Amino acid sequence: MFERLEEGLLNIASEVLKRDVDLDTKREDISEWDSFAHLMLVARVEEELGLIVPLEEVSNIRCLADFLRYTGRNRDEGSSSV
Amino acid sequence: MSELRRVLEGTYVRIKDVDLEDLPLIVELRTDQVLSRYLHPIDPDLDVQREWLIRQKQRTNDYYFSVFSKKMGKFIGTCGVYNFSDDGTECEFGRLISRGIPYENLEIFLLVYDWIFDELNVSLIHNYVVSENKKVVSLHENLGEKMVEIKPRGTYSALFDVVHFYITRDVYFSYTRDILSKILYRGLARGEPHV
Repeated sequence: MFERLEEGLLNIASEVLKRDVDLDTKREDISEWDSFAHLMLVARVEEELGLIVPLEEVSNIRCLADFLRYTGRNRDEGSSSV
Repeated sequence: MSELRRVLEGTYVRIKDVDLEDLPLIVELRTDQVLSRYLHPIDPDLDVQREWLIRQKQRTNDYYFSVFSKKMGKFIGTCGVYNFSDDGTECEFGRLISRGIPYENLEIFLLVYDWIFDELNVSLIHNYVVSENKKVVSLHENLGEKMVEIKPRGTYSALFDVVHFYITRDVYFSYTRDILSKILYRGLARGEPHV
């Protein structure tokens, strides 16, 4: 499951950022990872991979691997489970 | 004299005319070495800034706004609208500096662009971004803005090479506004308290 999620994350990031990145590449090191791209990345990861990132935690995503923290949640839990 | 004389209120930010009482906060922000590294330095003397603001407020078609985070209840930045064309159909959006989170920073564009296009009846907004400021250059590209040219140091800016962008009313309302709204307010649709 994790391998498929990682592959999905890398594919989405490649499309949103228009370049390849690693799971551990830091957001601040990629010029294409601006505010717009950040929120677009979160939206697509939620829509396509089924993860939920609570709004209050969106700013804490620093690299693609950070999304994997949210694999245990589903849409019914939302942020109330945090 | 050009003033908004009301508050542009969104989900994440409030935007209002700069007041004299905002000046210490603006000076603090504009002297932050990281946040201000792509802006022209200002004189940190509050009296100098007070005089500048008084002159700015006397100019016609020159708006200067303070931005506040609704969540934190704190000042987070500034932006401005100025350099209108003679016929009033074009203007420049700038003086943008913010220490906000992505939701707050992007909502600034939504609120101010809505106001410019809807209420000032402008049809085209110009932006000038320091070319070294790669993330902001990328942001304007992602907003669907059209890159016109790179203006070398000494032309638009005395200090920096600058990328000239513009966005039309048609592009904003057919693309940018929809996608901004989607990514800004997506989480709210599922009932989360906003950040």
